[in-house]
Amino acid sequence: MHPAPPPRRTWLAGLLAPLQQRWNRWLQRRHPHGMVAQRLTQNRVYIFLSRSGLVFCIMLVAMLGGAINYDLALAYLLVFLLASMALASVFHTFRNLLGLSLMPGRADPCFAGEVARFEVILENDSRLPRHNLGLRFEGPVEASDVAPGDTARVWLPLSASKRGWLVAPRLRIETHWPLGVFQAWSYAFFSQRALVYPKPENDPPPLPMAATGDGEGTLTPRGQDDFAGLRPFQRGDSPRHVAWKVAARDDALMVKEFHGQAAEALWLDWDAASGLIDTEARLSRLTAWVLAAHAAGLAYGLRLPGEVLAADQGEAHRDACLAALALHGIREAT
Amino acid sequence: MNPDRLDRTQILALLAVLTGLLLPHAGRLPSWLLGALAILFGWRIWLIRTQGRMPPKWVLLPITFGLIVGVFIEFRTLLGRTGGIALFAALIGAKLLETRSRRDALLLVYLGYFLVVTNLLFDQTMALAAYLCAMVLIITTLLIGWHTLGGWTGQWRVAFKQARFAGVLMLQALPVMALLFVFFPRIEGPLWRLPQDRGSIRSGLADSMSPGSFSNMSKDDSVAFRVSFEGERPAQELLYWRGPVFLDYDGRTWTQSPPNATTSPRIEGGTQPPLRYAITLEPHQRPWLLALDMPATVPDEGRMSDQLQLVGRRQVSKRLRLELSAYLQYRAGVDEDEAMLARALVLPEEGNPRARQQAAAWRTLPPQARVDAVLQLFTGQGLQYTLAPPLYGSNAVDDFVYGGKQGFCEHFAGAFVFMMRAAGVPARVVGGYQGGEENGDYLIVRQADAHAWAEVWLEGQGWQRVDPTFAVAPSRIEEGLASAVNDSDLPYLLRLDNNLVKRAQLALDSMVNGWNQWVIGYTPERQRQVLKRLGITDLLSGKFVAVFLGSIGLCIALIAGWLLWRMRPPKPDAARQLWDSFCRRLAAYDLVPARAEGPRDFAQRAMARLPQRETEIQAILDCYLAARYGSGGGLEQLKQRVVGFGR
Repeated sequence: MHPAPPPRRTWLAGLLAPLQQRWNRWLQRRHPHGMVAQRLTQNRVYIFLSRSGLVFCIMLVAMLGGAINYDLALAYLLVFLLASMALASVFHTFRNLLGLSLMPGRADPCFAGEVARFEVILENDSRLPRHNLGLRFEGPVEASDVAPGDTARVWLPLSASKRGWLVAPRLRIETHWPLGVFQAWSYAFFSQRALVYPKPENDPPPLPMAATGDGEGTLTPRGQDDFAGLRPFQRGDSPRHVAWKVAARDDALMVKEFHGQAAEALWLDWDAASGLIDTEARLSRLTAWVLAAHAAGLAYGLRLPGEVLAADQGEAHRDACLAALALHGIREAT
Repeated sequence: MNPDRLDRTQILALLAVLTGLLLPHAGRLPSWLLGALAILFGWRIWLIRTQGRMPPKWVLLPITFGLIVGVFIEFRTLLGRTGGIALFAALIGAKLLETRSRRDALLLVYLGYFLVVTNLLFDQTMALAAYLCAMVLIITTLLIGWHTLGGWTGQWRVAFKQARFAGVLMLQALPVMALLFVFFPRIEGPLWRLPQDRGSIRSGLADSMSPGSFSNMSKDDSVAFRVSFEGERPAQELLYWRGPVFLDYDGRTWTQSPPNATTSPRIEGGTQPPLRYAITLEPHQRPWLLALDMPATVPDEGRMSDQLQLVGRRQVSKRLRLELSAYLQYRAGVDEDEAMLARALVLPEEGNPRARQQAAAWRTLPPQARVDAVLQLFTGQGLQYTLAPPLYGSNAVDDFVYGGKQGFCEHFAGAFVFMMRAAGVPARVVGGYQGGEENGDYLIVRQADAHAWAEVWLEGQGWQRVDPTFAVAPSRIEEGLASAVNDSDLPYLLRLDNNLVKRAQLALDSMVNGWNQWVIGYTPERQRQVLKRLGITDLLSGKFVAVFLGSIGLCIALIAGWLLWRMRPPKPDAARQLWDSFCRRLAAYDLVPARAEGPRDFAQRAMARLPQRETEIQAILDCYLAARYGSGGGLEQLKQRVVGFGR
């Protein structure tokens, strides 16, 4: 491991850190917290020159110098026209955010190492359209327009590194419309949470059938010939079970269901993931097994220290198992 | 899709607008550079069409460097007006080929605004202003396009909408722009002076007078200056616009001795108050200023020379507006310096024996009688005023007076001064303009009005104006050039008849004059006058700041208010209004719809709370749902029920 490079400009950072903290505290007092809708009122929208606006100003000063030097009345006129347009654009930029309502939406769970997505709903109850609103946590900006009297939904990515609850940081909404000379921005502290499942182990060992089975070492999950009926396709169903003939006829994906026997249920046991001392590694393996068992269409149960999920199948069960794995050993965040 | 990616329609529009801005420079740039630019622009268009890859740095850098070196070799500088623009154009061409993202394009858009200014360096006419205004609209549309989601491709409607918004933005900016133009403190330029900046085109009077120098100007209908009088306009024969004074004669050419502005003779006005007027000079690249004979005041921009001539502090290289006043009756230089009088008597050693001899014979007469004698000689000889005099030889005065007898004003003035000097009266030639054409409330004086006359010094009276041309061809002075010569030789504008070309031109000139006076000619002095009229005597005084910022603040508040009004919440439809009124009635029972509660849920809750009115509530709900979400209609019924619910 390389030692981390010493942070540069430490003295500056040291000077600025208290200011930064004060700024953040001040912001947090100004903006409401929690999962409530937030209306961007006048005192919550900030506006200042953008970076390209700075270039614009430098250009105006250069043009003014030329106008003075060559005594060009029309150049004066042009400089004043552009400056006045920039001035008028302040209000257009500001109103593009003013009165907009932000609402926290759903949050898609993901696996550790992947990207969680948070939904933010923008509601425009004014008579003017809102253009090119950029939203972001820290990463890339997601932009959207909102028509008058309409709502827009924006999904914001946030990379998840650890399992458990991923709490969305401060949300920043900004706009440069129309000229890009000024940018208006605001913040929302929704503290949306997304569940991050443990990272599934790469190349996990086969499902521990033997550990729970009848001694043969293999298990026929619901006997493949005990056909029980059809149910609609759900994500995660094995393609092998899709009733393709039905699909060809009815345009609907149906899955063949078979009788399974509770006694034959597969148990994914904390202790079965033996050989791994590390908790996270065990959780990774169990996660991979849950996914494998679900993909195979098996009924399975999950046994964790202090928590047992009875054998079942289907998406809801898989999600419950994944949630249990994600939150294992983590106190429920309040 | 990468939001930072450029739309091909937008790139094409950018190319078009840059071309449009470089086009007026085409005549000023060397042809090899124009060719190179055409290739670079064409290359970019080809890249758009083929979706090809941009040239790498090692191709682009040598091209850029080569163009810069080429510009330097061509102009010997990278600064100055033309060299700077050539460099600028070359850099834009090179930058085009590495414009991938919106950020790059943004820089080009800003450079586009800058290109607009470079066009103004050479020309500030109304036509160019209108053209550049359209260009600014397109550039602004592009700028708005970059900051709006989605491109233009195949959607000219979108582009048009953005153009309309750009127009709205420009209109909103107009009041503040006008205020800034009027109030922003003007500084007298230049801040720096670059080589090659001095104007190269000279028109108008020269600093010497030789045969032909005035008659050559007689067909030039370009404007020399414009004048507006405060009050009554003097008679045409009094409108002598004084320019350079020609003191020295070498037998062929009268030359101006360099004006010395340290001392100037005393000027006394008559009983009348001085006549006040404003003159707007077109640039003529000479230091002298034109002023009505005889200047009563000296403006800040100039000084009075020892030859009673107004001289500017620097060359008139831009349009210059002067506030002047003049004595129409005056006594100037009664106590004239001996040296000056001696110089005004000097003649070449030889030449023109006949004129010399005849004039010498009059030396015994009193000075005023000598003047009259020469004038009588001119009329008696039957001298003719003509646009095309013959070329005279080395004894030009003799040949003219006693031989050819045909001449233009320079012949008359020159011959007259020669004979006056020979008769012992100090005299000199004055160049300038005579007359002018009335157009509305101002006077246009053209190059064709250039004129030369004489000035003689008489004891006790000082310098007195004598115009020998007037003695011979009075109509030239009283009614203008066209009446004194055959006017079919003259351009339309200079003719006497009120032809259509002339009328249209005069109407246009009136507009141009307003533009020049109020837009182009808005100088620091002009600003002081305008502000004085508003009661502001000092820039940066409290009152100035209050008026300036206050008026701008008002404009801004209007824009903000208008925007706020436009973005008010939409009016709910009729059914919703009735439902809201129903909800207000239910509020009396402590029933308020929750934020996310739909009408159905709310009605359920209300029915549970008020079981005795269940049927009423259900009916209102049904009516409302039918009116708002159903096929429509039923509004009347809903209204009745809601109103009925109150009782």
